[in-house]
Amino acid sequence: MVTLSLISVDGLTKHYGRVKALEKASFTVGTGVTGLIGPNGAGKSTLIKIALGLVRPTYGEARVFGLDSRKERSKIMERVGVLHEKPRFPYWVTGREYLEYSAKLKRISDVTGEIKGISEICGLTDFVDRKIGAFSAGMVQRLGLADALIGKPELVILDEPTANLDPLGRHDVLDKIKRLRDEDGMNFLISTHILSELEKVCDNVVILNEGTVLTYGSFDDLLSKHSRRKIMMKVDDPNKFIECLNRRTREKAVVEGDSIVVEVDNATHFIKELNALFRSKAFTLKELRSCSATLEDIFIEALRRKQFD
Amino acid sequence: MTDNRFLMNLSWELKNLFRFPFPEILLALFTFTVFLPHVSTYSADINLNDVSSQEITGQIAHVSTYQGAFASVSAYLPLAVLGSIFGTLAFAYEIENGLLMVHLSHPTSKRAVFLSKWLSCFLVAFVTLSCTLLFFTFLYVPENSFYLITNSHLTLSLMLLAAMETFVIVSVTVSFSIFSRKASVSLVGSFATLYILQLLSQTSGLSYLPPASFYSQVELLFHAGSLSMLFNSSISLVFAAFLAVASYLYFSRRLELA
Repeated sequence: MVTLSLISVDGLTKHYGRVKALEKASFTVGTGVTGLIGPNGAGKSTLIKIALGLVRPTYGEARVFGLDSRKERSKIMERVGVLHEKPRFPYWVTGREYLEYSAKLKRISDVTGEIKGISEICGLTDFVDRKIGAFSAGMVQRLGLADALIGKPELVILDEPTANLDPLGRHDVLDKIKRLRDEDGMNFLISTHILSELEKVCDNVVILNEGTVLTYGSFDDLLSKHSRRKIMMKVDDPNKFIECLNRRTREKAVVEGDSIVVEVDNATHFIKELNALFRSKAFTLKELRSCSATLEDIFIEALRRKQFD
Repeated sequence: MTDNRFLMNLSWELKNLFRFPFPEILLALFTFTVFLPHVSTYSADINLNDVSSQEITGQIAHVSTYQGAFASVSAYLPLAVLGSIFGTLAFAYEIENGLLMVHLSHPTSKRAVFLSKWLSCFLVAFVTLSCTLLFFTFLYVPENSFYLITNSHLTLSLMLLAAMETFVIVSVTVSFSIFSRKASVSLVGSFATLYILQLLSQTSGLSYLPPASFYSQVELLFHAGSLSMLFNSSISLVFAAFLAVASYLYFSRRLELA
């Protein structure tokens, strides 16, 4: 099966004076939902702006759908919907007027029907006819989401899509993203700090730090490649158990509540040592289970590896 | 529904600029306050000997239009204020607030956005100035209205004059707005530049600078002009054209919305 490359970035470098926003970033992402993660100042927003042709790279190139983001910006924008971080809209028009303008630019034939549909999807129906100046931050965010999704473009780029939304709204947005991906085959590039939310929907991950790409690939591949296996145990004397464990293995064990969580590098060796410990009958095992790693684990592990390198 | 994105952008920009109704009224009021009638001075130009009544009407109409044309010089500073506001609202304000970044994240080219914004600034200022000039022309001798309407060359000359003046002012304000990228700097800077040009043209006698150069344009359009008048009237237009091209190239190729 041939995987379609949606966004490919090659040696992308962007300097703002002395500030290095991106440094030789290279990666390729395929279809589905891609999470772009990294700490503040990692270069996520700069990368998005270069991909949209809004910022010129110092070196390197970015391609979207195989098209050069600088030379073929107009062709790219025909197929892309965007929600920027902290989006701003003209406060003197109503939400409907703005969406009508956006729909016309996207050459949507049934503008009224499309606005009705997208307003329902994004929870805008009740206030779409209000002036944008009277919108709350959450409403503006929903309007931005509607603006990005209108016309169901092939690729939707969302920079902090759940910012300013209440917990219910966040859940709702993620649910919509999942549905649009599964039912309409839409692709998403989502930049966010909230990793626990992103892992519910993402298929691919790109991790950025200080302008460089730490790692990228499918979520499942990165799970097996980067994150250490975690084992959770409940024993009768956790502190004494950790002391004994530290004498026998190099694995890092911490007490979390009434449980012990151990990050394991070599699972076979660890289980062997664990068996020996329990055979000594000094401790009683109440519970033992393997915990699945999270996106946060992948992110921390990638950062840790970068520091050791 | 129009399918042309440039026209969609243009109608959107015009809607944005017309969100404040007062500047159009302000220009007319300011110009009316500043403008001093010169009809008596030029009434000597009218030759009443051995001519038909229609020719007299024509001469009066010509003089009244000439008076209206001179209102363009008086309208320079009020129009500079308006031009600075329009240029700032259309470009620097949107760049500074991130509105332009969101706008350009739609399927529309930078060229179409620039041209629609530039043209909307020009159109609003041009219509405002044209209305002001026509108002003065028709106000002085209302009886000539029929003659002015049926002999459109006078009215068209007036509008050409308004277009040239607007072109100079909008080119200066828009280029200042794009290169400064800050609304406050653009607003103050572009008006200060136009004001300094006026001071220089008045105090140093630099007749090729606006608004003194507009006198040459009026003379060229309504009387036979000399070569020096052609030079004086064209130099500001050439400079304005250079600024318009430079701001277009910067906007479409170099502007970064970080």
